[in-house]
Amino acid sequence: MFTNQRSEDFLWLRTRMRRPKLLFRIAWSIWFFVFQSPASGIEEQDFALRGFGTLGAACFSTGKWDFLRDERPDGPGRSKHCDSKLDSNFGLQFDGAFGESLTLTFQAVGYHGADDRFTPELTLAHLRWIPSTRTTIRVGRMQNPMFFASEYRNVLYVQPWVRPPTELYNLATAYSTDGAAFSTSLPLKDWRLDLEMGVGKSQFNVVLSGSQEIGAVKSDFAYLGALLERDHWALKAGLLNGRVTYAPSALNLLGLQLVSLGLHELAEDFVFDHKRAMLLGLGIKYETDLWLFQGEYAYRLIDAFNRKQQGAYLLAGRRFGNWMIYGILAGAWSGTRDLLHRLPSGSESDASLQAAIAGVESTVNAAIEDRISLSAGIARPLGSLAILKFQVDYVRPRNRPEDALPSGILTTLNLDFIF
Amino acid sequence: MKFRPFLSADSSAGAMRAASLWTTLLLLFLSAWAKSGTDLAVVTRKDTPIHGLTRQQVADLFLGRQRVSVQGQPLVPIDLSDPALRQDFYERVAEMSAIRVNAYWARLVFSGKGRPPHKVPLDQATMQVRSRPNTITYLPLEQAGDLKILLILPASERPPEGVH
Repeated sequence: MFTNQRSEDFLWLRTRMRRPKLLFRIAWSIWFFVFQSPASGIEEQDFALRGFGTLGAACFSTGKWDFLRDERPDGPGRSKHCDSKLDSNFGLQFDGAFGESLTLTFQAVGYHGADDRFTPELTLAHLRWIPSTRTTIRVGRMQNPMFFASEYRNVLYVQPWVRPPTELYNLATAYSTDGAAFSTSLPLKDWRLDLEMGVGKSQFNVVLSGSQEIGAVKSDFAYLGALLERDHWALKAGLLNGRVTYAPSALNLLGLQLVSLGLHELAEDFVFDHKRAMLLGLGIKYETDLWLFQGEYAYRLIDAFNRKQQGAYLLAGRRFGNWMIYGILAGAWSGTRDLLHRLPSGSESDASLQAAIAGVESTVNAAIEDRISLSAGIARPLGSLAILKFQVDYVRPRNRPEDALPSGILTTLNLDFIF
Repeated sequence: MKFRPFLSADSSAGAMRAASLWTTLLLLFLSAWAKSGTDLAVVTRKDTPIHGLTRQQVADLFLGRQRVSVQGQPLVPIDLSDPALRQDFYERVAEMSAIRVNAYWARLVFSGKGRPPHKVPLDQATMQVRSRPNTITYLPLEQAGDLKILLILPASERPPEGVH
């Protein structure tokens, strides 16, 4: 077992090293070009190369199911007891400024993706133009800003936890977004209101629940985000509205099977093509040098079999000098099971109908991610560029038979850094 | 019975050394206290056409939350690399520790939404403010010299004074 673990880790390291080597060469070329150019002035710091990353390991006490986050194909648990790929990542960013009003940003991040590799993904590639003191326009690739940590979800160094609570952050229907965004900042008495609105397209790969098939989640959407801040307080609201397409062959086959049986209404739920999707996010934060309280709620509505999903969390943290101790209570609920009550009761002799119903039940059950988790963690900066974090999560799946998905304890040790 | 003098020649020298050590420590403590208790001034060049800033404006400017324009030209903040002065400044202007300021900027930078002000040593910051219009920085009040003071951030808990 240990041999396998080590060899897997070695393979992962080799995969990881191959890609960043290319990235490093690109980054070095940019750096060399920019700073060796006679026209540029280093003292101006108009061009910068930065980076971030996480080295971590997580172990899950149950071997019955994997602890998953966003696009990861597997995680600690059933696939392997301990996993160094759950949170580990490495990112490089290039920033260029052309005068005071125009900036260019590129960011690439290597993380454990649905293809089971650390293939670097271009996560930022946009021009940012500041036409006036209160407005900003960005065009290109950005990160969707629905939740507090959405835009820097890969940069764990700046987040209070080892990873964003999956109960809420797994509900995102868009991550890297190609489009345009307009933002403005308005004073409201003692408060400051930042409004951002944008349109875009997003695509990311996920592994279909209950199978090994990779499918692309594609979405077109418009969004509106608002952040109201004053001293130690921040209130956030986001609304995303659009269409989502997710068509792995297993899902398509099930849809066709249901159509052939005349179950058109039910089939509609499994033909995941340009389905209407809406995501609402609400958040509140209070932060001082001593205390951090933060809570978020999300409601996702998709016109498909996994139609209603909700997630929420509450975080309370207290700093003691350099140490920070925190606790998180998070939960996820779905209305997916409602669909099971609408299934037809075919005769036992109708084998094809029975098979289709079994397929529906299996797909729906695999998509249920209802659970509640209680987490406790401690974090300590190591110098000004790294933070060591340790977190223990008690995760209890809900709305499923206890023998299918038992509760588990996830233990994580991460080193987050920036440079 | 032989009485031991209260202060022998040896013990007298030892006491002198101890007193000297305590005095040095006291002076070190006082100088450290004095340094952390220095009034800070937010300054610009004499000919920059602005007469004062509020604490909120200075915080917004140095934290990249909002730009301040003077006759169509944006004010450009210059940050200091001196950790003690920087810590004092952000504590007074935004009630944020250095760790939180670093995390704040990392969030903005790595989401592609901002870039921090240039960070240079105090002497370079002063030189840059003197040589370039529309630049502002902060420094200990007694070092403001001929620069225009836009805001004083007192060492005490009193609210900061705007200079108009």
